[in-house]
Amino acid sequence: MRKWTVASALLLSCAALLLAGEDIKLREFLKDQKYENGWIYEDIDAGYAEAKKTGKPLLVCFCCVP
Amino acid sequence: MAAEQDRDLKELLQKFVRVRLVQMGGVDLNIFQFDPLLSWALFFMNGDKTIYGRFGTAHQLAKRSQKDSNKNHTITGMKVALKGALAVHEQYVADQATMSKRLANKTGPKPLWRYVDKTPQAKKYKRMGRMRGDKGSCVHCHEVQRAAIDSYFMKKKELPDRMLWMYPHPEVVGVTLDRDRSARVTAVAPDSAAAHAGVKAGDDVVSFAGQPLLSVADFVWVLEITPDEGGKLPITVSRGGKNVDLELELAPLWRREGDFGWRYRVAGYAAWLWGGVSLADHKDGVLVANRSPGWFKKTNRDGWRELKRGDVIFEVDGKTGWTRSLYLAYLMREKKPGSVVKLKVKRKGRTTRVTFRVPAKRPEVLGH
Repeated sequence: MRKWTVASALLLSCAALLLAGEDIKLREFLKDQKYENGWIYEDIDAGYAEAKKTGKPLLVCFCCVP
Repeated sequence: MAAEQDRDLKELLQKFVRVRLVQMGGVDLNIFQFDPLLSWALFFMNGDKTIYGRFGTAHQLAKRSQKDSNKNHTITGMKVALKGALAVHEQYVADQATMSKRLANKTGPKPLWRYVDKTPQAKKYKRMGRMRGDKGSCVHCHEVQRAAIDSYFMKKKELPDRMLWMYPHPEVVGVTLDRDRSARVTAVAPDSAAAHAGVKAGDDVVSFAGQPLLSVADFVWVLEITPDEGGKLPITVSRGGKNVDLELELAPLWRREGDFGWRYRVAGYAAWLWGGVSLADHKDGVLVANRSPGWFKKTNRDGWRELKRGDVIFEVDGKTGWTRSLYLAYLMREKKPGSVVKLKVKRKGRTTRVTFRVPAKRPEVLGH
């Protein structure tokens, strides 16, 4: 049972790392560093959560990358 | 970015939790509905997903490219919208019950598909998916419209007016709005719906269909969710320091007062149906203003060969006196692959009959 738990945890960690890698790849591709400071990038759920936590309104920018 | 040079803007932005989304794959279209022609657009919201307003409006004067559509965005107008959003947020926090009702229709009716990458069209072409770092997999904002139109065809549903004459400009109801203000009327067209309602130049529209307005985009949004059949919309304007309640009445087929022929996302269909020619409304019909180069030509070689620059199309399948949008809507709705299109055109002062066939395969062009 413990083996399965450890294996599942490892699998989930790998998936999370892969997803993080996707995000980094995306940013590298976009070469769009100027938005990084203070902007949540490509994660609307994190935006909802942060807005609820801080009580601030949310600004969502849809912006094509040239 | 403008905020780096503009301290006011920077300070305003810092009062928001800011999220940037760069492509439409996986974006919830039940919530995020905006003019897909825009190359950028803003939503002001609460963390509970209540929408306060929008900023960003494509305009038919921006015919040439997406970059031109940005000319409708000004920093001044954006600051006004940001300040307005902060005020609405305060009101919402203070009296959520009342504001929830006023803001309910800021969220649109559910589209046929909640995610663009789940549309039949997206499944078919398999080019839409989460951005994986390669340009080909990016789902652009404007592809939402294209995917929706294609999906209607694939489902054999007739395209409603709202899918073609989408995001109608304020000019459709007879008002011109100042892009630097939230919704100040700079001109009212005579004999228009706005003129009949009693709207005057200099009025500030403070509420439209019960919704508070943060920018021109919010005015456009109210029109966008108004049924094709029209109806009566309450409109409150501030005039000389007092609020005046008026009523704007839109007749059935009111959207057709506008023009969607400039929306280049329908260009693939226009090329398929007309043969890659660029059309402009003309006093005698529809002018073949130009013959587009490149891939457009290949989309319908027959049409490309038959229509000449300077032709004025004045009859399509026996129908006369229409605009380019009406003709295009007719062709998009009625013509199936392989159908014949019969035109009468004026060419060098003489009437000429032109017949060509719509290609057997629908256009499969996505992206740019």
